Amino acid sequence: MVEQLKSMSVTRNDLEGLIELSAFARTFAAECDEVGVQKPDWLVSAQDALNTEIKARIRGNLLKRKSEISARLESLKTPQQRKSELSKELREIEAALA
Amino acid sequence: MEQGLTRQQVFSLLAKSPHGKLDEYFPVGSQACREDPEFFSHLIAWNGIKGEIRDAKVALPIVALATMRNGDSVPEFVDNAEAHLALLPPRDLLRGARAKQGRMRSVRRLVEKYLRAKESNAKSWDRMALQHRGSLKELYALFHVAPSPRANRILFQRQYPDKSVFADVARLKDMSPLEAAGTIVDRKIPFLIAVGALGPKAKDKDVLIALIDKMTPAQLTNNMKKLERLGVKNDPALKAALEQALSKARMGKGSALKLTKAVESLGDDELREKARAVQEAKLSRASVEGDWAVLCDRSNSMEAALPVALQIAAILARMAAGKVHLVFFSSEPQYLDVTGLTLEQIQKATRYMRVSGATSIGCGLNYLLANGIQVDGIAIVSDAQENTPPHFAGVMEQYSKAHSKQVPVYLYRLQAAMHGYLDRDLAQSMSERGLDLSEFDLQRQNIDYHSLPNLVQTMRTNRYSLIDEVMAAPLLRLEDVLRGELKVRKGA
Repeated sequence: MVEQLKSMSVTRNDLEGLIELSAFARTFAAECDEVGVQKPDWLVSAQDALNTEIKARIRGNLLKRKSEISARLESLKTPQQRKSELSKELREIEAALA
Repeated sequence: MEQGLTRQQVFSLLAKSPHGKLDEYFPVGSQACREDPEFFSHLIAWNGIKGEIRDAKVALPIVALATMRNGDSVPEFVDNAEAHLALLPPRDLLRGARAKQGRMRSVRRLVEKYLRAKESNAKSWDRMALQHRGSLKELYALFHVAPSPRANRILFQRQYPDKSVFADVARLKDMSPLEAAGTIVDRKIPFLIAVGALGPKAKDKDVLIALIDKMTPAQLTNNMKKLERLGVKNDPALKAALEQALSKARMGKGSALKLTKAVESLGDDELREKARAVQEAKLSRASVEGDWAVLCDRSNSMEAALPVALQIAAILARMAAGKVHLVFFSSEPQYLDVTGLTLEQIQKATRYMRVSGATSIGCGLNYLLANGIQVDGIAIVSDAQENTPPHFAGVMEQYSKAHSKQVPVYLYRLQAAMHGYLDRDLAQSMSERGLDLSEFDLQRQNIDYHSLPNLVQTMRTNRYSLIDEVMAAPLLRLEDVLRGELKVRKGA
């Protein structure tokens, strides 16, 4: 597992794989503290890279889900709702043109 | 099959990738079916579960029906062939029906039953008609089957029921991108249908997210470069959509090596790495037991052997449960432990390898013998023309004695560029000594790399275990398939 952490590529791993690596890195770091050994540089770099990538992936997932929900809400609108929105937009345009 | 075809020759059928030319299955397939119809029927069933080449899934049942046309045929075997045809989507059933022997009365009856069964479930018929409109129309027309009134209105008159999925597809181009994206997800509109209906709107970000979600692994493979151009890597939501689609592709069906083509065409390093990870995950899911040796011919004029051997070694390195040893031979051996390595890593490690020298396949095995390396199976990639001692068959006898077991040997036979007067064919030498050799014939100009994983998957440390596996694959009944009891077939 140490070798995996040392040679990891955040690109190749899926989110679960990254979380697994992050959990191991955290445990490893805690153990270094426990035994009074300085955390190696590669571990610090790996943890930074993992934290950044995991946050980015979670954000990406949330943005994707937001897009999906917005799209589905749009498709579920009734003709009456669409008509109401278009009418409102028309009034706003007419007000701006007046 | 004591005379005539060997089982290995029959298995080689499964690795054919004739790209639509189904007639290529007939010569060997018909003979195999005549000689051992029971084995052939179980092979159809086994291939239905394990096989990756679509052409074989279409061709083998047609071959069986064409061969078993007389009154002596076992009804169970005919039923099995028909059942496997009925499992196919309309496009593939049509291809089978159009093949040389496909216009049989039995196929006509089957097509009618197939279409009636599909019509009986309006919801699933709609889904099928959405995706396979053209093929369905042709099936009705080619076999003179009168469609039901509903099918006739939808397929031939384009009169769609209100609020049907057909009506929604027709409206996609007039919707806003957000509404179109929602409709695609809501109505589960297949990727190709949606792209065809959307026109330029398909490039919109929200629509792309919906489309990526709908892509099959094969579609993902074929569209990776296009997605790259559309900036999928730069937008976090699109990137997340691609990640999730690739995760599905890791577990899904589809050729791992087809991904190779998509991977290599990508300009972006990050996307290429992601696609490679999927490729490796797919190869790792199949498995081959034991430790293996791959002996690669690097004698003079064997340039063709090197890339094939590296592919096989890489496939085995992912699939094999044990160690994988790669030995290049000409008149001297050169060894590399490739256990767990990727194709990229193996190519890097062998980038200075060149062809030269005479051919001693035995020296490759001799290396393993001298170094006490025990394997459970051997794959040889060569034109099989030995001209220099030690000869393989002789060393094989010593190896078997040293390790007290007969190790199965598989030959991937490549085209011989030339024949010298000293050349001795490996298959002949092995036969003279009463030693087993299974052969895959790769003697064609363009080796189909897509079929290599299929071939590797059939290699076994016990030469009879694959036959047992095939015979254990259950035969199907047409009645069960048409009733929809077998919607999804999982690997045995």
